[in-house]
Amino acid sequence: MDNLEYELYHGTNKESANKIVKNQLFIPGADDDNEDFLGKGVYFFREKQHAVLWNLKKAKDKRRRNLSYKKYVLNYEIVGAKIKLKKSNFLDLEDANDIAKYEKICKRFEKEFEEDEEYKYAKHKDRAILNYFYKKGYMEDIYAIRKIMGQNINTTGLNIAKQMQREIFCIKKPDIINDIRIVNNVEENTYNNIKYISFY
Amino acid sequence: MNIFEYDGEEFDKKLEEIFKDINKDELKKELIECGLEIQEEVELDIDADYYNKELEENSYWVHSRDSRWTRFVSKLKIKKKNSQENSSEEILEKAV
Repeated sequence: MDNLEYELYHGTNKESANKIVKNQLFIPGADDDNEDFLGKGVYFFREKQHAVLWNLKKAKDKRRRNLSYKKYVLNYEIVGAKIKLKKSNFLDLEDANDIAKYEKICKRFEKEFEEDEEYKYAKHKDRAILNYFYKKGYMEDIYAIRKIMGQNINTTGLNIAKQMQREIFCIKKPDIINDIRIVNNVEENTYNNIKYISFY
Repeated sequence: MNIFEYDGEEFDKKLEEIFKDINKDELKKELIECGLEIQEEVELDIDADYYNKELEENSYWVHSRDSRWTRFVSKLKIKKKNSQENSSEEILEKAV
């Protein structure tokens, strides 16, 4: 089990999707769809539905709320890709061993700045620490990071699930991304259900 | 180097090596370049005396059915202090 392989999905607008597929290349940071809580990289979801949810968020940011399915498929795509890498090149922030190490790193930063109020209340510490470690070459053999993050959903009637858990991959080394292609969007019924439970 | 390759004491040792003789100011500067966002202090630029006076002059008390006194602000009477976008009405409404 030293080799890992994942099928992943990246939500983006039609123009960016066509460019990525044509060039068979993702450029970290070039696509403004990159969220950055795990630092600079190309972001993917394990589930296609979460890429749709991401596209809906981007549409909302552009003041396009309540997009009809027809308009959605006209403007947004899901790019599918495969990543292959060795386990030693993978940081899994759902694995106790990796979480413990990352926690030690974060705590060491806290210790360094224990009397610094600005650091204490600063935002985006994770991305800053990860970007700093990459910049200094302390994580140069880590090609991808995985983390499951909750996304708040608009489900007032549900007591058991106020969040959807999204499995997110941040790819640091684009060379490991292969088989880049536009995949079929979700069907209209699924799209409408995603919209129904989202805030978008 | 991949610090995550190391385990236990070896990991702790490598981590300490990274921070050995590190310049805190430089480190903070680099972290900011790497995406750390320092929160700016929020300063409210409100002339409290002016708004208190406006509130006194343009509000009235009503004794409601549940025996509580409620303060109402008469919006129409309140003038803007200057040409700032935030009207005194909005601020007074919040104050009440």
